[in-house]
Amino acid sequence: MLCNICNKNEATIFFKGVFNKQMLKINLCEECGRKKGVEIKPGFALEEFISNFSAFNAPAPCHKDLKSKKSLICPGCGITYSEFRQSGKLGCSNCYSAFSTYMTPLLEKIHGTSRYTGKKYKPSRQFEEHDYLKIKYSQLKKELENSLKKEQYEQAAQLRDKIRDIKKKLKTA
Amino acid sequence: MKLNNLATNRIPWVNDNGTVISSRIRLARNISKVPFPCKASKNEQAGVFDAIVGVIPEIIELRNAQVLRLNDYDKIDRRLLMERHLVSYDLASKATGEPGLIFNSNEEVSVMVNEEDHYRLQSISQGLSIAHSWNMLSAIDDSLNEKLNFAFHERYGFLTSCPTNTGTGLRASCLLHLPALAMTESMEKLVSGLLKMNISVRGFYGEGSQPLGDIFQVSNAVSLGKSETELIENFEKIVETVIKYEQEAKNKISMGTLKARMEDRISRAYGILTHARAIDSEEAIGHLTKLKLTDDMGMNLSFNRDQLDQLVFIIQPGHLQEMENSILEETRRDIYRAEFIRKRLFN
Repeated sequence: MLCNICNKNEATIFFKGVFNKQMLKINLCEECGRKKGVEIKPGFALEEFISNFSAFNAPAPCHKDLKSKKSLICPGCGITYSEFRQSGKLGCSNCYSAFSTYMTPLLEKIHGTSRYTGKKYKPSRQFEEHDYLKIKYSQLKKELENSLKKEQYEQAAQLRDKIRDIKKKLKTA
Repeated sequence: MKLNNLATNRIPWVNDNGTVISSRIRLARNISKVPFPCKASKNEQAGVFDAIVGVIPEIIELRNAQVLRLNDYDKIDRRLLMERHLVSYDLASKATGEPGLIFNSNEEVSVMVNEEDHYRLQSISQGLSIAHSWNMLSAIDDSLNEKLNFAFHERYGFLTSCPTNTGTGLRASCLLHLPALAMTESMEKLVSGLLKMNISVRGFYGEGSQPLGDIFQVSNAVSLGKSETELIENFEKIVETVIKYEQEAKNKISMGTLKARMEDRISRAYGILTHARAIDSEEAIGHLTKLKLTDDMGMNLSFNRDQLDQLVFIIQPGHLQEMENSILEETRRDIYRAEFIRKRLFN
């Protein structure tokens, strides 16, 4: 099978996906793959390729569109849309709503649909707060340890107060 | 090196004989409101680790599990865990944050902590047994769901760092030994056929790796839009079809002109393994997997058959160095490996 780009070399990298409701396959040789950003190394993930891949087939965006995409920032973790496109990784669950305009079409490209039909899951509100506090608690304890090690006693005192507050909340929860 | 004892245990998921070596199923989960590991601070990651460590005593399957903070373990230990498929390459090589591993004593159930997602629950077992693994993993997931709050979206399902895992967060995979399909040059056709059915084919170490010893990893590429049971049933059916194709290719080889060539390959592998004085992992895996075919080809070669399937995996650098309890540089390792194989296979 020949590479779809140079049509000369034997293809060794194969990608397949649904794009704009059409099944699309791309076969690349190692050289063209590398040019398109595919690096053959342990740990290479399909996700690294997603952004390039979708750019391959998406209709060319107008400049205004591109600008607004680039300037999108997730308020939860501070990741920008263009950072996500580069790494293929979202920074937090908020990113899904922050980039919502692009998430549904992207999920449809990857999975053929964006509608979940798996196990029923009901997050329980009372656990939500409790979980978060527990994580915050151990995080603050580690920070306290660090500041004691560095002999930053003022900071340590503040941390101790915060920890005491959380402990109280955890007890009443 | 702290995990010498683990290295001396048989790898529980290695199937003796058969096309399907092992099956694995995993679920990706993240704690709500905490950034994913790629954006979480070390302290936040430590919090994620503590959160699950705090609840495992309440989960029957993980009650006596071992908990490892990987920052306390060196490269060789991490390499060993990777060779036993308890951690991924990514987690084994993670130099920052708070990577962790929780696994039960029979190594069937494990949780990778702070890899790409906060938690990757996984179950590995011998042969084709995904449905069985799923029942167990789903029960653990349900218990965790009651105790921790996972990032979930009404429309998209479970939210993960990479959108390729969004939805069920489920990935089912099998490690397949496909020497006959490889020899009849049918792999290319098979791979493109499987891709059409949303099944990915990868190499020996999974994502991003090359096939070694005609061992391939196949997995579902889609995790959204179907229920977990549908995904699993569909995947199992496809794997069963691949097994059938492999058997047909084996029959074709044993009856046709390719038989002599296959026998030649097996005999050469036997010759090298009996006489080599230094051998690297890659070459050893290639020859050891050839010996797995002696029965299929009706050949009578004398070696310890019960050692063979394990050897394919335990001659890798992590296991060898842990078993020898010393750091061996590459040349010394290759010499030790050749001797180790001779002792185990031909003594």
